[in-house]
Amino acid sequence: MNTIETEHRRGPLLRMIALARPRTGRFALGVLLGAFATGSGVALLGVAAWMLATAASHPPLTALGISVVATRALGVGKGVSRYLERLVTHDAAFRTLAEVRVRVYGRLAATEPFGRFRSGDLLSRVVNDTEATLDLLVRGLTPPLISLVTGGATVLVITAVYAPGGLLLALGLLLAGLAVPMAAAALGRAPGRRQAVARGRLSTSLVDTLHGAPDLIAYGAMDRQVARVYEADDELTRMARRDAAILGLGAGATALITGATVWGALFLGVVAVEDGDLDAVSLAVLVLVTLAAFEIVAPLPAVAARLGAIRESGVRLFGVLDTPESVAPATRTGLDPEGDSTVRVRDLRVRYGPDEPWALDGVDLDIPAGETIAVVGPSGAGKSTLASVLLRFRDPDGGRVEIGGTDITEYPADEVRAVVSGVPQDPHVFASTLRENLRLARPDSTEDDLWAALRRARLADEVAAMPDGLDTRVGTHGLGLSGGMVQRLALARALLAAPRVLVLDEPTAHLDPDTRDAVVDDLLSATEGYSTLLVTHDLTGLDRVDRVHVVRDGRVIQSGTHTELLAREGWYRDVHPDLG
Amino acid sequence: MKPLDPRLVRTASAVRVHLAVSVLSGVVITGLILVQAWLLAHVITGAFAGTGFDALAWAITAVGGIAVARALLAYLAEASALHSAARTKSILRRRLIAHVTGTGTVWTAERGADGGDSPKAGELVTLATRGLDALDDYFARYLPQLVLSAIVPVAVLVVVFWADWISGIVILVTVPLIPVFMALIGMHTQSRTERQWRLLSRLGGHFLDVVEGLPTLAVFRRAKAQAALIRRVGEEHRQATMGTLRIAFLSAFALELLATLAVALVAVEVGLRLLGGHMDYQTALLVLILAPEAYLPLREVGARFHASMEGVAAADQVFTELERREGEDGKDPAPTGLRAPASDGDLRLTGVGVRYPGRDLPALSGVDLRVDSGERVLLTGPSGSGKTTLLSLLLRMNAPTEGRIEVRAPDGAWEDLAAVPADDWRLGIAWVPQHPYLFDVSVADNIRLGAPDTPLERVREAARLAEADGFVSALPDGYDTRLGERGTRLSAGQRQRIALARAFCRDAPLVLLDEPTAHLDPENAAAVRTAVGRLLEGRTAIIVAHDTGWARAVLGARVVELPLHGREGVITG
Repeated sequence: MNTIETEHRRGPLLRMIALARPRTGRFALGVLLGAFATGSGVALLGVAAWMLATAASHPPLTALGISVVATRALGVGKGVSRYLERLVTHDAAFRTLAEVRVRVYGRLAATEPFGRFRSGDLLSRVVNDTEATLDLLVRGLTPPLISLVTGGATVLVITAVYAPGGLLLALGLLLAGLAVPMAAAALGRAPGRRQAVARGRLSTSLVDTLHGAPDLIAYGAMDRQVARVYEADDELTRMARRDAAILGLGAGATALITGATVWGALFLGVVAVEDGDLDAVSLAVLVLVTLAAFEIVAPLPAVAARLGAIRESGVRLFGVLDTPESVAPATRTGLDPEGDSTVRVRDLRVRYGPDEPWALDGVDLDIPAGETIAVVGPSGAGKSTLASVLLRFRDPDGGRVEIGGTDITEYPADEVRAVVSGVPQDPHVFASTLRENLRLARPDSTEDDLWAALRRARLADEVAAMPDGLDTRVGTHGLGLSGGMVQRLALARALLAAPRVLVLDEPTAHLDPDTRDAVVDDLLSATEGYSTLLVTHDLTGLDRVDRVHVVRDGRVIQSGTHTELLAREGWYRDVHPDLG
Repeated sequence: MKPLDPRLVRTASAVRVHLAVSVLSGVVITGLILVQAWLLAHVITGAFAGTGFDALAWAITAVGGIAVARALLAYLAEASALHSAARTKSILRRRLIAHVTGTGTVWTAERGADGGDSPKAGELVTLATRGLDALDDYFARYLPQLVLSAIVPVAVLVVVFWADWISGIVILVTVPLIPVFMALIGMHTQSRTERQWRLLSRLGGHFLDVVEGLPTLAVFRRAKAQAALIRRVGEEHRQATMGTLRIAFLSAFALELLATLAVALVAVEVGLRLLGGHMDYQTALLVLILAPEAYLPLREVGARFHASMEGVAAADQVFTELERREGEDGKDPAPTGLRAPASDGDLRLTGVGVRYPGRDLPALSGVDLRVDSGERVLLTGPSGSGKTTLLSLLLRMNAPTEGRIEVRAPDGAWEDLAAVPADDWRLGIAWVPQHPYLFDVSVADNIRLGAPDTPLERVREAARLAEADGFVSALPDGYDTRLGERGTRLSAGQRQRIALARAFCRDAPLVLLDEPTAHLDPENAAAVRTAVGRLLEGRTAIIVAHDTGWARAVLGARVVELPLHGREGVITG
């Protein structure tokens, strides 16, 4: 517990760096190689300056021997070590990324991603945040370390040549490599925020214009809307032009510090030579190394500008990694997959946080073996929460859910899912073949099993007509399949898994009305013989189910068969489209 | 991809200004670099020869002056680059928006109806905002370096040749080698890296795919097994990436190697001649200080190439979009700003069909239909029979590719719908789509979308009639509440009722409804049905809906069924 708490107190950047701990050796090697590369550039000029200054007093050739060899070696060494450094650090960073991905996945799998990350945008942001680890390690962490090592070494060498010169160089490098980048990043934060707000406004008005185009055209409002976009563009452009005066300061300051340090080294050096504190050969080394040394800190302003975004990614990343598991650990194992499959729900209560309203507030219902039960109601009534509890995506906050008389929360989630399975809300089609998408539910299924499931879901003819049949690739997000086909595929998958209890959560959401009726029809035929819980907001086809429960505000307000409910005064009759 | 797109220079005056500023400051910077190198060599040599501080003071002061001048120049160049970038982005953005909203593109951008090669609305938004922002880097970091890389090496060469022609030759030979080598390596590796990037993007997409599919995996007890697969794919991803990078880094390696090695060669060669007395110290120092400067801009340009090309690519996409389907409009007669009298009258379709370019099957064909003033028609038919396309024809979002649509004012003659100005015609239509779009303005402004001068009292009345007044009044600021992007504050049923209020506010004689209750929960659907009943009183209506019995029984609509692909219009009821 203690270590976790200290972990949380540390900043997200440090925690992200800590993720790379298993690769410390590789990163250290990368930093050394990088330091050698950067250092070679500086040393090349220093050695060359010493060589020229020495040669100027015409000593014998042997006096230059070492410096000639060193110059050539440094000339080759820089390119080679830079190349190696980039390979080593990228390799280490990708290894780390692969591990972080597994961790993030494991956490998401254990923390009910279903409530918080239902939208695809948020999920892809989590994926991008995971990849920010790579950015941090390659572009955020390694360059400053390389600068630190090389800068330190250079300052040491110059201090040995002439101490005040070393001090001056240290000061210049610290200012140009640390103070200016940090100040520039801080200075850029306010304009960045301002412009982000203005950009958001522009983007919203653009989204409105493009997505709302049919409505705008139909209602003759396009010109007014375009004028609003132009207004937003004007505001953003005005702001960006004004902020340019601030954002240029960093570049100016870096140039000033570089120039001033070179000037200072020249000034100090010449005075010291005149006073006899410095020999004339070293003067050339002092000045030329100072001139070359600012290459060491050149990458740092970009690093400082980047860290803010990486830090935000880190905050979100650890938001995911720190989420507690949504299902309590099992207390026993051995739920009999062949046993009695009657589902009894008693006084079920669920809420999504201590201060949230009850999503389910005392629900009682039974799913007798072999019967089809429908749960209907307006959106937000808690229907899908019921499905989540049955599929073990989350624990109840009160009440019991039993299968064959035993509480399902006592068993591991996967044992329960061997009995209760089905089609979750927005079923996913993986970027793979139809076959793989089906076999997911039962990896040992035969060709015949697959076709039988497809036939029951009324998808067999369409698949048989595809050029590659079962091997047809369904692209990212299952593109190429219509909404109806996705639902049928999901149904076939659920039938293949052949659980004792089928839970179908909104199988007709997002379908157009024509497809919807056909899918409901086929679905009810296919699930005959299963215990089935159909969760839906759509009232068509309910004459074919055994019992309908109307859920509203987390409670069952009506129960009965379709015919009974239509005959009775109440919600079901009030809203049924055939009678409205 | 070209480093400098001529279309960019032609289109945006800000680009020309920026280029001029960059060249000017590039020339000044080059001058300062040369003078600084000479001054440094002069002072170091002077001190070496025993010249006193006082005699060198002017040169040392001048070095300080150059430092200040270069700092000022760096500041001004960066600020002016960002300034120009902001203006260029605005110019491109406005042209893009004017183009997209001015031609038919905007309708298809949403629907992707023309076969999918035109970008979707979301991509256009990203392009116009974040995409174009990449031009900042291009302007501030890349273009000035590009200019410098053209000026500095030449100037350095001239000076070095003048000072010492042998060193001049070393630089003259190696500088052009850099672009040559990079091009050679680039050509050799391009196809290979492209192939690998494709593999990479497939592997990279795997993680998102699996994470998105987690609920599905969990249901089938495959979630844990996937962790091992993610690890394996991650490892494959790393190996494939490293394979690509080993090659991709080669060009940077060649550049760095050549540049440093050339400086080393110059240094050694100058040193040896200095030792032999064939050269003086000051010249040798000048050559040593200047030599790296000849390569620096090339290295910088190389290092910034990829990052900056994002901006160029974004600009390129804008131009591609601008060149797409130019001048497709213009046939429409000029609007008068008054409602077309024909919208109050009768409507006749004869053999109407629509075929989208590049599609085998027509979206609609051979429809014969007559709708008299005050009549209600319920359009039904299977998915794909062209019901929504038919509505889009009446809205003039599309034109029929075959057949005729004619209209007749209450006491006028039949005339071709295409002869009526589209804006005038639409003034007589209230349209309630399947998924109405709500804008990020107040509720009141959303309701008066088609009649911006409507007073608030009439807006409230329209909302009351549309069964929307209740929930709107309960919003924090009532009718002044802003709805947020895409109206996400409201549920689908509430959005549908706002759209109905819009239709009431428009007060048009012809009402077009597209599946008004299709995606609603039963309670909202019931409320919408009540409101639709009110809306249709005294109006002509064409309703696309699933026949629930409601339209027929309650609205007294005549049912028209469109067969699949609309081979012939079957009229029943």
